[in-house]
Amino acid sequence: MTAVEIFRQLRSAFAPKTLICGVLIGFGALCLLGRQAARENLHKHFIRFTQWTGPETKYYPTVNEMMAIVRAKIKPGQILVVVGGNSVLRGVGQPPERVWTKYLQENLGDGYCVVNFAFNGSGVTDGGAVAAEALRREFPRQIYMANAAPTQGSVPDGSVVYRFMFWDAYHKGLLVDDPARNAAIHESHKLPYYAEGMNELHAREWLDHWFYFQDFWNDITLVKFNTVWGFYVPGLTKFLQPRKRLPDPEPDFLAMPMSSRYVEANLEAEMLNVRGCSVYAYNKDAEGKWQPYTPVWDQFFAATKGLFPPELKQRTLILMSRNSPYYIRRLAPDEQERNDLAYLDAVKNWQKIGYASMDYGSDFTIDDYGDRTHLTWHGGVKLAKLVSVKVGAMSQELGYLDKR
Amino acid sequence: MNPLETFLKSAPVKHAFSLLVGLAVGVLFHYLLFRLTLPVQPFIYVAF
Amino acid sequence: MIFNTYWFILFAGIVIPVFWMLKKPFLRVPFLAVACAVFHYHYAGPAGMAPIIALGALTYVLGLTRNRFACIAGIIVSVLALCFYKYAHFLTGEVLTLINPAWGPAVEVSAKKLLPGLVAPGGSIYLFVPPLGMSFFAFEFVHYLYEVRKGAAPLRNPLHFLLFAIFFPTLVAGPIKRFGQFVPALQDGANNVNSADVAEGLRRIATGFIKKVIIADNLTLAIDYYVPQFEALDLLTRWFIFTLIAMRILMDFSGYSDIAIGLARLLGVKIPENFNWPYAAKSIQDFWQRWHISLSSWIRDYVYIPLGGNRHGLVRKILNGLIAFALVGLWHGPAWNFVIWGLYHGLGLAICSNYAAVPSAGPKLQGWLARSPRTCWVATQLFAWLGWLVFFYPVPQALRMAGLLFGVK
Repeated sequence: MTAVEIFRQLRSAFAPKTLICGVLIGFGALCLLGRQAARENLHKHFIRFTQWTGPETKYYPTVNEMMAIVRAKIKPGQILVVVGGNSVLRGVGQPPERVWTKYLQENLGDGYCVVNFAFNGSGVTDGGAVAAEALRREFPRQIYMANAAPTQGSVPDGSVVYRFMFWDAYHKGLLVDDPARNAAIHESHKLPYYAEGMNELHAREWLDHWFYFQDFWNDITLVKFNTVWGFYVPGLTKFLQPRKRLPDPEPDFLAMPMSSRYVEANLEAEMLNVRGCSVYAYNKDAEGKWQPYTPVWDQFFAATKGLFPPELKQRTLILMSRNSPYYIRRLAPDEQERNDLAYLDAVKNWQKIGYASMDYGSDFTIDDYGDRTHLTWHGGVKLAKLVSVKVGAMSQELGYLDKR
Repeated sequence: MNPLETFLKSAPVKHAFSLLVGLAVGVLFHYLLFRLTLPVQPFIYVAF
Repeated sequence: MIFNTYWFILFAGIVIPVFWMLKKPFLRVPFLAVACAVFHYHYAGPAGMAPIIALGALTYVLGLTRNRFACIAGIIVSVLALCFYKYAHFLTGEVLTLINPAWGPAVEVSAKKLLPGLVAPGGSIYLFVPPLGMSFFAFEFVHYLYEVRKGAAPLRNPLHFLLFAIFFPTLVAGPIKRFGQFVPALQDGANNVNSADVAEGLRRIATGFIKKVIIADNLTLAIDYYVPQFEALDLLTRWFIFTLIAMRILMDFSGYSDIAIGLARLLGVKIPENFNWPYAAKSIQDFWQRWHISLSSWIRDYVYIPLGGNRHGLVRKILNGLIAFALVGLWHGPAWNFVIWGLYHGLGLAICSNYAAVPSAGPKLQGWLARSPRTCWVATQLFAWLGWLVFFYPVPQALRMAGLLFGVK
């Protein structure tokens, strides 16, 4: 009898009820294991989410995963500092042993626990924002920070790539039920671009809150074997290796030549980006002074409505990331003035709507920047120093220090 | 029926095999739910 | 998409257990009809559903008349609808332009003038966007009316006809059903769905998803990565990618068919197989008895045989085969590469089924091939797999890739 014949023989002799029981047991067991995985810290010695643990390589961290990282890291009595935002705060161009949040932790000392939940290209309401909100009752003494550009608002449930995080937490009942935010989400989803894929996302996250497939299979992908093959994961022949074995590949900007950090061919495009931070937000009046162009700032206020529930606004620090002096110096003097104004006004406007805000980079050098916007570890040290002072002041204002 | 066939058709083997296949199907369905979190390729023939 | 979406999983996760719980067939059938309508509406939208409802209603009513001419008229309407939705743009944009470069654009401009409400903001014509599953609907309706015209009893129960038309497991991409087989199977399912059906259905769906999600989707990643650099690859890798292309289409489509068959089986409904190990075929006839069986048998029954089949001499037989296969190609989409792919297979089949008639050499070759089944298998598969290059890529690129497989740059 050949193997095929044996298989055919077995197949013809299925016990249907046993098979159905097997399906239910197999599926049910994985749901239970998923619930278990949701409570475990999958990221031992976590520094930040890397290229291999981010959506760019099809790895989608769950809110439970982030919460477990915090629980594993934080010590009793510590104030939680969650860093969200984009690649600048993730520390692109800073090797893991010199990432800026490491210096922030050092500056803040043992009274604080800093976790870096920033992701490339994410906005102020993505990733870290969701994790911090989900942990608000467990760790009420918390500060959340993210970065943005002047006049840049956001969407309450996050940018397209990272929106799954918000709805992951939402369907697990981890978020504040804030009517203003709900209304803002409702509004944003009226736009076809935002509405796209929402049915699927809701169905996915609703199913996940019952079956815990994201936590279970993230655990397998990270710890046992990679379950999602693709060219974004290195080594065609080693595609099954667990992702935790892949080292954080972040290079050191300072070890790279200037010509590859500040690419001459990109100068024009980068200058457009730099000007873009302020060019639409101001007009010159009759005396030649820059005046805010109201529609743009109105749009900013509209796009910041309902981003965070009122009780979480004050503990939220919005950092205004300035561009490298390499480019700023190339602006005409009046453009430089307009650029300065944009950052200062943005800070004021974020403060006006109830958030803490500060800008950084006005006194940074070219070497503090790895490129137009990302910092070298050297710049990271400076940022950590500035932010730690601000975090200390916020802790004081929020009364966190009294309760110690 | 030879001894192997008799063995394969015996109740314990039948149930054990069915249970194993069922477990595998259950695990696959759970993985499938996860796999769909990633962008999926449309079925080629849906376009026809 | 469709089966590999969370919406569908939720839909199936609700509809199928409710179907089981209803127990009574007189409740199950209407419930299933409503569920299928919801499914159709969700994926096709009102614009995609309306033409199918109109065409379906017409087919149903004309079938009830049992009038030969009414049935023929219905067949013509179905064929015209298919041609209009699927091929109007191709006919105006490609075929007419080929004859005279000015004609194609002129027809489109006139169409837009005549039907201003149907012009989309981008300038394309809404009506030219085919409704979801149009090719499958049209073929099933033609089959229905053809059989009724030949004397088969039409479906009197409108729910049975509705389910024949929009049965959700097969709505989007087949297998193309035959109503004489489907309706008894549906009744059987509504009466007797049992644990054996459920177990087999689950196993079948799992097989389909393994083929699609685990195998085909990953092959697609590799193919999309390597094909643009096909020329730079070494010969062995080129053949490897060539094999992946052949495997991908099989896994993708047979995976889809497995899921459709498995879903139907969860409802106790047995629908016909669409694949039977096509890559084990040892001749082109054999291949087409194993690949997309529901399409090839449809073409045989409703195109090849009505055209005369092999009843009017060699030339007519070859011509009928070529017409049938050109239609098989064109059915896949309004593009030249599909037509060429169809004709390629038609030609292959003509050679394969007639070479033995060549004096002297024919019988010798036939004898030799009969003694070398492996050669037959290799030749058949090489032929079919080379055909996939034309199926997936523009003809010049397909020819270049085929040349590169044999070291020709």
